[in-house]
Amino acid sequence: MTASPETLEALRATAGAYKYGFVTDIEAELAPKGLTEDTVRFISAKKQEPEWLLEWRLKAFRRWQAEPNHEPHWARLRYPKIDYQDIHYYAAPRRKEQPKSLDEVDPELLRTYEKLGIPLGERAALAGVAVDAVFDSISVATTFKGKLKELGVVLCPISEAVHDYPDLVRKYLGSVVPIGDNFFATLNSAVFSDGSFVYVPPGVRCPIELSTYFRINARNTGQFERTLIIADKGSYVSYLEGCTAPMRDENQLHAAVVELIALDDAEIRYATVQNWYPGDKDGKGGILNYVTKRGACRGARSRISWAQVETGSAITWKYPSVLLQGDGSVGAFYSVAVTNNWQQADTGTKMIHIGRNTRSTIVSKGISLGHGQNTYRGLVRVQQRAENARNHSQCDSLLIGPNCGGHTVPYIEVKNRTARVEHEATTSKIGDDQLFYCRQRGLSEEEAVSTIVNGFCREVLQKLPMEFAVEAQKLLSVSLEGSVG
Amino acid sequence: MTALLEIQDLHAEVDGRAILHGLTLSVPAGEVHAIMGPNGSGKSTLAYVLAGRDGYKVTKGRVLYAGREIAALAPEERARQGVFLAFQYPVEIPGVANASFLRAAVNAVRKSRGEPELDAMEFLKLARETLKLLRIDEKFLSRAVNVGFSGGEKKRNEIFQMAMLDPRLAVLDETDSGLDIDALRIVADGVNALRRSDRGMLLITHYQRLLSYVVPDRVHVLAKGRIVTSGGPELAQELEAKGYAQFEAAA
Amino acid sequence: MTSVPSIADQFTSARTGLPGAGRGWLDALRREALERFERNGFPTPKVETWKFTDLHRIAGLGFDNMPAAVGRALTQADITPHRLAPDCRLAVFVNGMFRPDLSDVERTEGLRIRNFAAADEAELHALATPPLAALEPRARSLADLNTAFMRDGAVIDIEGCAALAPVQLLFIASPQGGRPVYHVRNLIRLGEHASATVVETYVGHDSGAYWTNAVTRVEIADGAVLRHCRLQAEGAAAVHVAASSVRVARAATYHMFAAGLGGEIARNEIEVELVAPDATAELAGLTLARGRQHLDTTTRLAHTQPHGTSRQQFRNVVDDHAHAVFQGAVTVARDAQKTDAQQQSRSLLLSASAAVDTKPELEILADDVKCSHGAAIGDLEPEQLFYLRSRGVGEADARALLIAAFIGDLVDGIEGKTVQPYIRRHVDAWLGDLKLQERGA
Repeated sequence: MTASPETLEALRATAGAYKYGFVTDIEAELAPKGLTEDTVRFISAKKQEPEWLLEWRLKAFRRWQAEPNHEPHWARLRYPKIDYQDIHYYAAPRRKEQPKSLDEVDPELLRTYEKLGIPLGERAALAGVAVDAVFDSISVATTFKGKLKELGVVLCPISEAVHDYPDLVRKYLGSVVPIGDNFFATLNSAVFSDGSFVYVPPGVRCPIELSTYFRINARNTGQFERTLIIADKGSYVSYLEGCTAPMRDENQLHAAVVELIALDDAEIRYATVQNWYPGDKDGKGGILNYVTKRGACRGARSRISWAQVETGSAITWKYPSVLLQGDGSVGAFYSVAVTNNWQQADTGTKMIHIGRNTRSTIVSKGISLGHGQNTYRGLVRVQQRAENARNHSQCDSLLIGPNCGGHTVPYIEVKNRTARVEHEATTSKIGDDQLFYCRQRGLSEEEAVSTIVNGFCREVLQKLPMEFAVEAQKLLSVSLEGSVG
Repeated sequence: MTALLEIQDLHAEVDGRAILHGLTLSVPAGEVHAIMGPNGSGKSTLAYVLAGRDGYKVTKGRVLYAGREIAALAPEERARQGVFLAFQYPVEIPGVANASFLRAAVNAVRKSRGEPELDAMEFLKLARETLKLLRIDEKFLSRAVNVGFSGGEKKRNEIFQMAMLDPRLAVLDETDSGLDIDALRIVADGVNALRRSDRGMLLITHYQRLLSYVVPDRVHVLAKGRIVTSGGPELAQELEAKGYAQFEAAA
Repeated sequence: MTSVPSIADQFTSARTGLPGAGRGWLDALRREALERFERNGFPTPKVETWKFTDLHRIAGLGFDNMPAAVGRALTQADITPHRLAPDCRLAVFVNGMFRPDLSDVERTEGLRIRNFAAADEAELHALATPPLAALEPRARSLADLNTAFMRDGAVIDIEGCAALAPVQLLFIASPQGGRPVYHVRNLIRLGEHASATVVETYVGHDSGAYWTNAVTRVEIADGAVLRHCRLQAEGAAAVHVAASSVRVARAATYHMFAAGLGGEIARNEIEVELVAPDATAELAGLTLARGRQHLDTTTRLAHTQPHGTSRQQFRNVVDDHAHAVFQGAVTVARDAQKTDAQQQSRSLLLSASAAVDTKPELEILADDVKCSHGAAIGDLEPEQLFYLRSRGVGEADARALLIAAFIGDLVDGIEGKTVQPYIRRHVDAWLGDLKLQERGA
């Protein structure tokens, strides 16, 4: 992306006057460390954003700055203090040092891809081999793009959407996760890097999983991802985020915001596989992942479902939620979270029943091994107007080994007598009798554990798009490595 | 030539408690032997010791399978070498389809024998043929392993797995317990169908009634951790009529 | 009540009159507790364990922590209706102060009952041990306030294996105007292999406003069994805050049944720690809320040693504009292998404005355990209602029947042949007052 001469000029003119002024060359690839108003202006200028968006970012920044001690600490997570002034808040998409072919890629990485069953054609792209140098799946992407365009489905980086669909972005950005929602969402609103924008017009059923295309092209969205998906009346879209391949990133802090809006009779399915770098065996390093994901079932009979397989990151703080505003709307949350070695996850969902006849389902499977700590934290709230609301929650934890922990903290608030809310949770270990049974049939101990764990997670894996589910299953097996012996 | 299974002066304990006290037994290939005994005589312990369950410790004596000592092998190693145990209480594994479980097992066994693994289609073909032979419903394949199965279905599932895994030594631990007469017949027919000249079978049972349908070559009486008497099929009838008391006294 | 002196001033003028005054350690303990309370104040919903119960309504009212000791001249006739059974041992406290004239605490084989004021040095130490130690300071500031002002209560010691009559502690409030607080402190100790039934009853004799702030410590030695029952039937304008802190030793068993139906705002906190292997805790509770009542039950069950068993069953029935809260945390420490912990909470909402907040919680650090919790909230099953109506039962009767059934099997499970009818009497009276209209389908 290059800035227009006018913007550059304008920026240069103002930049010098800033209080903390770093008169950075606008061509710079990296913003200096630290977060000030200038950083926000710099990011916005880099992206040639319209004035309203800059103002929006600044509003968020001022709010964040005014409440520096509001980093939430209620989750069951322990991590060293984050120095927010020791972070780069802008880095241009990296283009340097791309390997030219698979031969130059770390063989360890390739072996993992193989274990995960990632199609040969995609391995190169995932390993960061320059896409156009290798492979013609770009043409596949082009085909998809043509098809989508025909239907009127918009799928583009949000930084482009700001220019091409300003009305939609302006109307919906921050409408589900407001600027002041929480510390990390506020931070994201001030400095978000990029992410996806999807709009599905009324009555259109998006015919493809927005996945294959994205897996290859939507990487490098930066550490402050911002995604906005709008399903207009009667439309349907299935969106897949992330990838089973291990993602390495030198940025320790990630704070993403994802907003979904479903209008009358629309349906959004959002699936995530998160396999960021979890740190090493001793708990050194690893991504700190603070994600605010929320969907609004604005319209009557609308549906939003979240499915997630979380195996990566040192710290996961994530509660994909649904606001069930429309009468008859339906929300779902299906989650598998694995914590191995020293990983910690505090994840769950919020189902807020506002409209009448709203329904929600929660299925959470937590697996802890090594020194991993896994917490399910979820809220089911039935507001007074939500006649006949229904919720069913099932949260199961599996513990493997003596040093891990599994925790379940559901909050249930009901203000309507016609509601029916049911929550069940169990914690157990893999049964010795199950292990022995599998081994008597010839499976090794590791295969037995992986078989039993996959069975334990089946309800959730079933909710993933087909080809993704197969990979996720293999990912689970890989994540469990070292669990026995 | 030694028999397929040779147990010599076997002493074993469970969690530090001695259960088997010098058990000697020999099962040649091609034969079906029954082990009968009262509750607490050590029948299930023998089954678990043969299969290598953790916590079941051989303190003295030898267990030779196909001429080799197996007491030190992991359970999956024994399984891969052809030792099959039909469980008295088959274990439920929620979420894991019978078909995928069994395919993983069959391929683990085949791999260790140096045979090519079966792909999904080949496996399905073999599984369907086997089910037909045993007169078991094909729906078994898509159901989760033993989850929601009735007692009879669980036992039939064990027989089905035995047929698929093609073992050389099959140990059936009280496979007849808890079955009504129809289920018992189906299980017995399955066992009879799997009798073969190169396969040995050990039927562990409390009651004689299974032996009306599966006629054993030899019957052994187990009491207080050792074989106290052996004989032909007629011994089973005698036991049915007179009970175990005389043998328990003898032991 | 704007003229009420500050709590610090109240403490300054009261402290020399408090039991045990002059003992340096106890004076210091009280003073430190007061300082903690002054620092932390009333718990607010920002404190995690007080998320659903907001005391700001009472925090600003100004209470009298050292009300005059004289109560109205209650007589035996006032006591009798509240008595558990004619043959039970009974310790009566009127406005938080022991009344020997109304009590029957005669020492019998294996049983000794005394009141706080008569406690010796060792007993004072045991009484003063701070409760709810595992919670963050802001969550237990009312227990701190209790420690600062604790004034009377019962010390019960049970030894040996003799079969004993049940013991009842009866707390009757009969406030003489103002806003008195009754800071009650009890201690119940069971020696090895002892077995006993202890019932705490809290009732309001008339409709005045008051606040009961009770702390009860329970120590159960190896192999002992305690059947502990709490009936909270305070007056309509009362605030009731209670913390029970229970330690269960090796192979010992603790049964608790808590019935809560009185007061305007009530918080019943039960903390049980299984401190040795093979210990068992069985907690059951019933909350019946109507009008504008806010009734909170909060439990914390800590498994710290192997082979512990816990069972919890809690039910709420909420009518009118009332609000019930159930929070139940189960923690399993790393060493507590083979723990078997189960918890169930069910809530029935009977009116459009009734509300329930529930937070069950599992925190598990041992891998070889079986733990589960379940929570269900809703109205009566429409299918069951329909079934009864199709058999000719009117809707109101059908509802009453199902509500009674919802409560009934929990009450049926109470151990002890005197306690069960006693609780049932109160529950039935509450059910009798239900205003069940025909609501239409």
